[in-house]
Amino acid sequence: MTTLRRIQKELKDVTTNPVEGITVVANEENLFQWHCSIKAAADSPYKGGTFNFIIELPPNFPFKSPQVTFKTKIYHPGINEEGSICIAVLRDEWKPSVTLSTVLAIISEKVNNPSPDDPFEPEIAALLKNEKSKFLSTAKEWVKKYAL
Amino acid sequence: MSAVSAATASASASDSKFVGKGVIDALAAFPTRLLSAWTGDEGNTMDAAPIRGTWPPTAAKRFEVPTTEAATAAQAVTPTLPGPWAFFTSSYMLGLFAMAILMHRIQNIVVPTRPPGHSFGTRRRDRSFLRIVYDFILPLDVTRTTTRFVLHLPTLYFMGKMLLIWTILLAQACAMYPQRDSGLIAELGDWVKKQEMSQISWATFCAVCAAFCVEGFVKGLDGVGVGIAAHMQANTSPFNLVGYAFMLHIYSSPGTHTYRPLDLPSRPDKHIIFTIAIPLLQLTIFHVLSIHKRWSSHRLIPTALSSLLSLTHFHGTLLLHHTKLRTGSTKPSTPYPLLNYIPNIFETCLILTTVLTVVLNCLTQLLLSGGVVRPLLGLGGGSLWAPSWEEDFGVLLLRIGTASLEATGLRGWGNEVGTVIAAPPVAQQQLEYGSLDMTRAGVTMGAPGTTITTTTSSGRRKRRVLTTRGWRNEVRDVRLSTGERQDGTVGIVGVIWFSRGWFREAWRYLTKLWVIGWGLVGVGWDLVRGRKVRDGWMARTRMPQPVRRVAIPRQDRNHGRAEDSGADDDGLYERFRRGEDLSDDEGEWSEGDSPDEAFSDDGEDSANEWDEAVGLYAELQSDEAASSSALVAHAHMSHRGGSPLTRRQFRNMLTPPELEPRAPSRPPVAADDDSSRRNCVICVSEERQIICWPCRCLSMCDECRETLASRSSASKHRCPCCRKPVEGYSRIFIP
Repeated sequence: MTTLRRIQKELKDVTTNPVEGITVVANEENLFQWHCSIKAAADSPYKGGTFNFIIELPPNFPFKSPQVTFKTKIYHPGINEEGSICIAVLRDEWKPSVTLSTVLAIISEKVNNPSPDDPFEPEIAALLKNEKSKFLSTAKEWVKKYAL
Repeated sequence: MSAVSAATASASASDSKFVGKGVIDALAAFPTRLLSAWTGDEGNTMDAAPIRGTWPPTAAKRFEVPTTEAATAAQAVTPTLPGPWAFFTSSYMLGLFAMAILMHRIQNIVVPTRPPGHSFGTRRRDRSFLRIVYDFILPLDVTRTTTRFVLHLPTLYFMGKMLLIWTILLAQACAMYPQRDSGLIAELGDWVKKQEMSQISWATFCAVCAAFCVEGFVKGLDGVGVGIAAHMQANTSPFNLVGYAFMLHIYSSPGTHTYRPLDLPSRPDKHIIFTIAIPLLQLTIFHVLSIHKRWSSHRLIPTALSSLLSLTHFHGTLLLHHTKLRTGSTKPSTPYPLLNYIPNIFETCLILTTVLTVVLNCLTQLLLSGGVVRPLLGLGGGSLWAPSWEEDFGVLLLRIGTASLEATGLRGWGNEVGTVIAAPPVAQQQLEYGSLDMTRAGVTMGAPGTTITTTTSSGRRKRRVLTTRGWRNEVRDVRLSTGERQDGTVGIVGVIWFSRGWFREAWRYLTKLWVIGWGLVGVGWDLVRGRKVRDGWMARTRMPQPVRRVAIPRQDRNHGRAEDSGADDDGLYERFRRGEDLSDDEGEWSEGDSPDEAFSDDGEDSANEWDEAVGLYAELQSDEAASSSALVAHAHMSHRGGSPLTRRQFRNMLTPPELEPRAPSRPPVAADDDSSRRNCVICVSEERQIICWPCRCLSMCDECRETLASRSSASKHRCPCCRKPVEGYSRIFIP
């Protein structure tokens, strides 16, 4: 009961005050699954790309953290092959007072500003650190390939 | 008998022209004389006086007219005897002043700042080695035993050293020190033998002061006054530094010493060494306990140990002395130091009182019922006898002594009511809520609530106490203090210390003594005047007991109109409102009826009551434009029922019953900022009601609290806002 109420409230919050660049559509039959897409910022390496991801809310939602999975492939040091994203708040720093709009904001920030610190994909991180131009070109290539 | 007094007396005799000066001298020397007369350390003159059993009749004269030879002889042996006045000009006094200032400053300045609650830890990439070491050490975690140990280490060393020296001194004075020709023990013994007494005393004083400062400092950093008498006082509190310094000062000078080897420094009597060593032992134990944070407040065992040691020593010495006195092999004056007489005698009195009471109680029970069932019957509740670890042994003794006196205080003489044994219900559950202590530094102590289940089966009582923690532990009692315990202390911080609790118990003890004494005098007076005391008591016994009011059923009281009153009851007010005439009789009746209604507890009645209250309140509101205080007053006036009006009920009253028929008022689900700040962070729909301890986050509603409580064990309960462990919660009401 608590869970549903909270999710409805969160959904309302996200639709009335959307995070910039992110659109959220909840699954009609299953409110616990949100289909989201993020449009990369113009000054990011993924300019022009639109990436889809799914937020899965656990049945005991505010007490357990939601799961975020990217469906669109993205060349990003913090997102791995399977689409998992490395965000501390979604792992051991989760607390019930974190709202989903905060989570979305963090995702947007993470996607638009890839950083080599605590990487999920060490190879991409190393490339970003040492040969930025190569990284940028690969990222652009991937965007063209998968995210347009 | 003192050399100084003798010298002063002879000096005043020779300077007989300056009579005034002589008088002043005699006055100034009086305390010295008194002290020396009591301690009786001066062998020469004492032996010259007539002894054996009775106090010499010429004792008073000994001070005034000493023979010149005796005076000079005494002077030759003991050049100086320190007077009490000399204490005020000694370095000990200076040290005490410094300590007072230092402790006061520590108490007021070393106060923990509240650590930032939401630090996520900034990470540094490149750090120098020094930086790493610095970060490793600072900030200090004073709750850790290792840290505390390191802080305590220097003073621990000094205290241990001084304790060792005093132990060796004692062993040497008793001639029990192991005689070796070489080796560590022999070297140690020789080294101690060569130490001057004044140096040892001063070093002891310094060590004690340093230990005080360290403990005070650590407590200050910690900021946690868990059960400690005064915020800063640490465990040194039951200790009287002034008295100790005075003793050290007096016995550090050779004038008071009895043991004078030719080529080695002189030593005081072994009993004196023992009385000085006991407090030192106690302080050392305190200092060791202070290393562990949880033990740092334990006071009972060390104080009990030192008290018992002191008492044993005191009585042993007196007993031994008197047996020796009877055989005639010693001087009449006791070797026990005068300063320690009073506390020992007092404690002995208390112990004797307690023992006497318990023994009499047991004897009575044994004689009357053939067995001792409850040895502490009538001596107050169990809580009285259960000591807490933080309590002083002296305070405990006083408490128990007072209770014993109270139990023997002729209280129940006129009471002829036999014991009424009611069969207790099979299982009783008693719920106690948790409590919390808060100071400026934050939450200092949380006591968890308990559920006590008492099961009675076949005459045996089983008691099961379950403590509740975390989200299940409701804290209803928050005590605010400025960092000191309720029964604080009196005196200069760190120097003189008296527990207020001690004073209170002492006062109760004295009043009880007074009452009993006065009662005995009264009884004695009656006897003297030839009254029959027994008759007086009997008369008192037969005094009519006040009859408790019993609710008589309505039919009995008002036989004829039982049927009309029941139905009319609710309509009465309506009739009054309509302006109908009500007879006095009926008004009285409705008044007399109300206590009966208070007894009826069923839901229907209370619902009716509630309706009536809301109606009455709305009525009052509509009549006049009332101020806010009148609002509350009206609400209280129109509220009826067993419990006082709560805020929620008041809020429900404010909303007219027509608009919202007694549903719990739910705030509108508006998405404005205010509601998100006021609503529970978990379900975001209910208002926040629960505050967590000790992080003090006001974060959620009671429903979500219950969900959280059922989700994990108490040790894993964490605040939903700051993720700190939760020890308990309180429900708060925002009007």
